[in-house]
Amino acid sequence: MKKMMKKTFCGAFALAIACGAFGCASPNDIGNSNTQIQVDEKRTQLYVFNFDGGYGAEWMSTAIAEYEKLHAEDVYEEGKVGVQIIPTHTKKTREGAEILSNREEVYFTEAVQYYQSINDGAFADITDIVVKANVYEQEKTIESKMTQEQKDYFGYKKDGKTIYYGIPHYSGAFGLVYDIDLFDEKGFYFKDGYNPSDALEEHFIYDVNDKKSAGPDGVKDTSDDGLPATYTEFIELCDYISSIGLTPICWSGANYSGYISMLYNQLVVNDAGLEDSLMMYSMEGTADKLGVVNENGEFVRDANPTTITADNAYELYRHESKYKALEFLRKIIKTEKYLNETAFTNTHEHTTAQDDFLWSGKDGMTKSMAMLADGVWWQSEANETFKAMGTQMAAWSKENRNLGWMPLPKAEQKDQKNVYFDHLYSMCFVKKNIASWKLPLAVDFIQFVHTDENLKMFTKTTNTPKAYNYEMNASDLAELTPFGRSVLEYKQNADVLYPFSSQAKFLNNQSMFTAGEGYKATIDKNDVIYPSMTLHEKNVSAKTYFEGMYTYYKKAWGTLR
Amino acid sequence: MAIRKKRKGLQNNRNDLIFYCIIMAWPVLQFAVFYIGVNFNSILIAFQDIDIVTNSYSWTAKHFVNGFEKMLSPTQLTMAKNSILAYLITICTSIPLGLLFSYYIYKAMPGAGIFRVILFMPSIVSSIIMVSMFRFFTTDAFPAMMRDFFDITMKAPLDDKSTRFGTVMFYNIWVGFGTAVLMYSNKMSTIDPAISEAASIEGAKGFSEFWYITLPLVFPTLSIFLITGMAGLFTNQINLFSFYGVSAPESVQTFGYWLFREAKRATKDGLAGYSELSAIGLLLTFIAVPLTLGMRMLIEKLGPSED
Amino acid sequence: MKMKSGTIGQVPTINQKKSRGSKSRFTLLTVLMLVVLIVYSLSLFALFFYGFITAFKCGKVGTLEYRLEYYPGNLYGLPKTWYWNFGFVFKNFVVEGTDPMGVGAPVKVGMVQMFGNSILYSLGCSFCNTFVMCLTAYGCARFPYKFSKIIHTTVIIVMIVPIVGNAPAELEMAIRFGLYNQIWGMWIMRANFLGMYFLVFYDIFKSLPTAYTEAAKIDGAGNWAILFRVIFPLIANTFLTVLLITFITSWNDYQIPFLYLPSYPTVAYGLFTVVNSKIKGMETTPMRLAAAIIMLIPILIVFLCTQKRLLGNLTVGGVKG
Repeated sequence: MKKMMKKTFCGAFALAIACGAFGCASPNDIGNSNTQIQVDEKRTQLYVFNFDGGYGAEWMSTAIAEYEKLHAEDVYEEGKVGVQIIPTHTKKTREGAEILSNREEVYFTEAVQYYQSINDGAFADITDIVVKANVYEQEKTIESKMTQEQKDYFGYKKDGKTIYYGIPHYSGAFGLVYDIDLFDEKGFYFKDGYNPSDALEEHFIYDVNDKKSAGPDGVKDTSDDGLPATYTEFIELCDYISSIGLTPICWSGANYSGYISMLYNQLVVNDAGLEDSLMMYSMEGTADKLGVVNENGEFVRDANPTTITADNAYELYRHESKYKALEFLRKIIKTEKYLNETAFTNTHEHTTAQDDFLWSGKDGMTKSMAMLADGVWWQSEANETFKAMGTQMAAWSKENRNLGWMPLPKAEQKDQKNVYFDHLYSMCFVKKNIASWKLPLAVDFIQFVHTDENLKMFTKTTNTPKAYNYEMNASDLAELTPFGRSVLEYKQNADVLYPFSSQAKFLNNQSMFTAGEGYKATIDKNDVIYPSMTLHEKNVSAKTYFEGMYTYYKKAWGTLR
Repeated sequence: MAIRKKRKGLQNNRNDLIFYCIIMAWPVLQFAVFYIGVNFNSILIAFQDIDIVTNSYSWTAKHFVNGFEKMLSPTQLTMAKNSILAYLITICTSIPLGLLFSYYIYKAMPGAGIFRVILFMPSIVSSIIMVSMFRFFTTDAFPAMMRDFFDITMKAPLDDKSTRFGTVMFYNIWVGFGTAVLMYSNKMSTIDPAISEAASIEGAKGFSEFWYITLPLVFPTLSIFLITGMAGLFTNQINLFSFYGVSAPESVQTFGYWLFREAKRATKDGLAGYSELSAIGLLLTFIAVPLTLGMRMLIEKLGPSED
Repeated sequence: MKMKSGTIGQVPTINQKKSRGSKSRFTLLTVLMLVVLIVYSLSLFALFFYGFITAFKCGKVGTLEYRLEYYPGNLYGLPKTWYWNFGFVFKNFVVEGTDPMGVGAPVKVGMVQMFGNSILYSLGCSFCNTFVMCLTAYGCARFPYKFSKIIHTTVIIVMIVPIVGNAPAELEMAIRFGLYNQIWGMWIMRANFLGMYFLVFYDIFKSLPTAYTEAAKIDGAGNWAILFRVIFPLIANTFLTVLLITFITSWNDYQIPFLYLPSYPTVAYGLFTVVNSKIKGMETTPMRLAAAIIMLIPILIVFLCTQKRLLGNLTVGGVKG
């Protein structure tokens, strides 16, 4: 009897789950962006690959719909009228042979080892549509929207000719998002002309009559007024925020190793400035901020500058900014009160961190969090939270929530532009073995996507910039979220750093220079990948890690091709 | 008549042989390809330098040199330490605990029947399910409970470097406990009751019965634990892949975990990545084989006889 | 270390064993052991209970309910409101596999297909494995050729000689023979006679009296008729038990499908993906545990329906070379 009961119960429970699972999917399920598209035999198909990360698939769907409409009557192959673009939205990137063996013909993706893939013969030559006028907009070329640095990198030199096998795609950077409303409400802004020796709370504005400091850009009456300009100020800000019981910074525990190493990278380049940062990739120039750390943990610059060449570029791992940023990051990582409780918890995903940040102080349970460490693309990932919050209160929606992209502080106040580090190696290209009759169609679609109009459409959809120069007028900007506007403004005023060059040693060893994994070190004879993880897990000083980086890269340089 | 019988016997023999050949053909072929062939191939790959672009190869011993150097690197030494620790911790806890509690089940003490069913549960539930529940419990719920009930602020045990390996090992022992108890108690239950009764008449009860009668009889099972554990020294993953996927922290990795993960990575990179892995595998085999055979000899020499 | 077996023995039931119980059952040690066993059992139940109740908490990241019902509001308590996450999980538990032809878009494999893959994979592998072991053991045990002895010794040697790191070679071999990324390919790779259950079958066949087969032979039955009409019915019970155990092992295994079946993810492989990557909407603990519960249910049913067979038929013995 008991056995029967047991079996009946199990059966009933399984049945209930199965029925429920099949039949009761709730109405507001998150849709899958990769719904299966039936091939329309009456139209010509073009297969497009879209890396479906933080930037999502919506922009691509919009572009496809418009392109298909525009060419509904065109004939590309006999017996067929119009074009059908079939996208593949996926989070898996592809390389070399994988590109050639899959059906996708046009790619919009990231993390591409460009020169390696050229050597693998994966890309088709698309020079014509890059350098000639775009058929969809008069007199403008795609090349004209690129910086010289981008032209040098994407323009592959062979037999005195420049060949474009690919062009830039989106423009991603990592950093800190801050809650402007919370900053305004609590007065988390430095007071103009505060006395550093005063009590901590005296450093910050108290009411509307207090004037904010000039902020990181050193110029008054700009959007960064009152924000911390130096590492010291940033630490003071964190102390101040935590002293009133709030959490200064939130990040994802499941992703912190990669994410916070990218934050470190951003801190380094922001402090070093464009010129010194580019030297890492071009491997030429004179470095005058190299040095060693003495027993007291102080950085001592070399007496003489070092001429950097491809043979000794590892010397740049002795750069002052790398050490100062390490000291700063270590302080943050090691101070529990600065961080969310789950900053190192392996189940705390990036979406949960975004959720925590957005809901903090508004869910009736938690206290506010002031900043979130994430990439410029994060808003698309947090769509569900924005939606849910927007239904609670209109001011909490994505369109209305007052969030900003924070200019990162520098080691000391200096008259130097901020750096926007576009580190994703994102690209658009056509695969080499596309059918020759189809290549014109593929490149035509690329031209279409790269008109000013569609570049703007991308920005309005994702609230992030594309890696091109194009004007967004006031009405365009009005369509962005406050955060999107903040990113664009930041990028406009910053030096944009593309982490590449035409230096052979860089091109042949590109994987060594990624933002997340470009700061390896040898610590206690062990090679470690992430500064964030090492500083958190090991009892390692900034000096030890700094010296470990030099040891690692000096040895590794000997093995580079 | 005799000749006919003999002929029939021969006929039978031939039929037997044909039947035998037919039923053995597949197993032998399968074995030849997927055991002998695979392991021979593993040796060949270890000596090949494969060029992915031209898909050609040349012969080299460099993978052994590189592999050997790698095995002496601090990272690999940590793996060796973890692999050995995992084996030692398992035998030091599983064997005494397993034996002790299996005796409880064997002696049909109160609740033995229901405990048998419960102890079997961890064996039939997939490690990925058990580990997931354990991981989420220890990471999400446990620190919150400690905070709420005892006012103790702590990191999740799997995130804290100092408790990470201990937590993974705790899990392995906790889950392995049930299996160990059942294996020993099942073996004990095959002991002829007459032996036990005879021992009882002669005054062997409780501990002495366990020590002089039961233990020698379950020794073969115990020796399996010791030998297979040693044989699996470099293949034991201690469930790390279920815990961490491809990104287990270096401080907890074992060779078993690392080799599996690298094999998966190599499938993406193409055949070139296989060579060094195969070479390291061979080098580890050279260490594991004598260790295992040595353990077996030691057990045969020192262990009691079942007879 | 999962179910391993060696020499065969029928395990007496608890009732049979009761006669053996010692008179002085409640010593301090036994009470202590009872307490430990109760605590251990409770700890197991507690974990399952935790998994179960968490699967019924709101798992939709972004919503206020998620924050109130799971993180950070209620990480270990009973759900205040019970949420039916299974519908969402069934719809969104989609794993990306490679295109079987290697040229198309990645295939999106949903739960129904994953269950199908699991059933095909587990049934096929367990049947091929059990059948080949049984057949080989029969040949070795009943036909006293020298080769039989070699096979028997081979099984024992393979069991105790550890070969490390041959996975790449095995993968390469599977690719070369066209077995890679094919469920039937896995059946072929698993159709071997190596393993402890070979010894289980071997011992059974050895211990079967020859009278049965002799009688059948006298009646004119050939070897095939003897095998299928006489022998198999006699060992059907053990065959089914081994089949069941290998089925459960295959069902639970996610590593072989992970390595060999990129286009045909099984449920176990799917669950591994869900708990270790960021499938949209499935990144929360309640959703992940709901997926785990869905995978757990079939195997629990199989276990509860067959626990007597699983617990009673096989024992672990020694390896004698």
